[in-house]
Amino acid sequence: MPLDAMNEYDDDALLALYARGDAGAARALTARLGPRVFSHAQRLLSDRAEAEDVTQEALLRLWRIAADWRTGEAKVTTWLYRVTANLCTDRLRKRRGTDLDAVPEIRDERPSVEETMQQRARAGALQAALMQLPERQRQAVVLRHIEGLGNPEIAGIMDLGTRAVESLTARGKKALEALLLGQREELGLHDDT
Amino acid sequence: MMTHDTNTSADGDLAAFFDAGRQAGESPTGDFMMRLEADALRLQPVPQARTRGSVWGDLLRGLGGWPTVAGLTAAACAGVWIGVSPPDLMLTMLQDQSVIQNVDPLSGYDYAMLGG
Repeated sequence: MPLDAMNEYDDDALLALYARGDAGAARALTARLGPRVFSHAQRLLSDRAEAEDVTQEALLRLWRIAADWRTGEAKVTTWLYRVTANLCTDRLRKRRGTDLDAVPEIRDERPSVEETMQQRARAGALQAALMQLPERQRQAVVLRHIEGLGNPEIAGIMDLGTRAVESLTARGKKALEALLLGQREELGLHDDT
Repeated sequence: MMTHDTNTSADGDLAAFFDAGRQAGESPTGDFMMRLEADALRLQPVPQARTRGSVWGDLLRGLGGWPTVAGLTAAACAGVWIGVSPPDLMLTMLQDQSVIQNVDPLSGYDYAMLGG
């Protein structure tokens, strides 16, 4: 089946097609989920090479359980975010104490107009601040405010109640405000923005 | 599902930072995506796969797998052996017609039952 024709299928349906040997579904799922998992891993780890490793491992696990996937029981993305977060946590545990000075890696390949520079600087500041949060707070804030997921789905991913998610994101945001709001002026943000 | 629009108000004072963070999302390289795709295709289940000799494979599965085939083979060998070199007791029994009647599974009684 052509890749475009796969757009009308949700992740569950594509995974079922994948399990039945449809190569188009394999390509469509990879194109749909790969960048998403990678982006999330990158935000949690702030390391491109490690994010690639985690993405590859998370998707390998998905392919391996595809034949046993029970459609309708859990969202594929919820499962993937959870696996990704667990893999990232493992990486961070190994890294802890040996790589505390890691500098967030922000790509620098777009035209350097002022606004783009400022956007990039803000993104860099945010990533640096995120990396200072405890892991669970960081994960909750990223899922809520960057990935744009709702609290119930985040609760499913993090294996928490929605109240606990709300508490984590609130504390994370408060910590981020303490870290970032003092930099507003130098990042081109003024009170009217 | 992405809900960035509805989240913007919840972002509060950090909205500009979160907005920048969303736009600065890292993208995987083409090479890396190719690797992911190769993994997906390599690990894809092939439930309809047919290989050479699959008729024998189907027969084997139909009979119940190797354990069943081993049992059938043993039974066949035993049958051949008994045919070639029957035990003395069996020869005695075969010569005694009454014994054969006693073990006949299709005796007159069974025929009567089948006839209703």
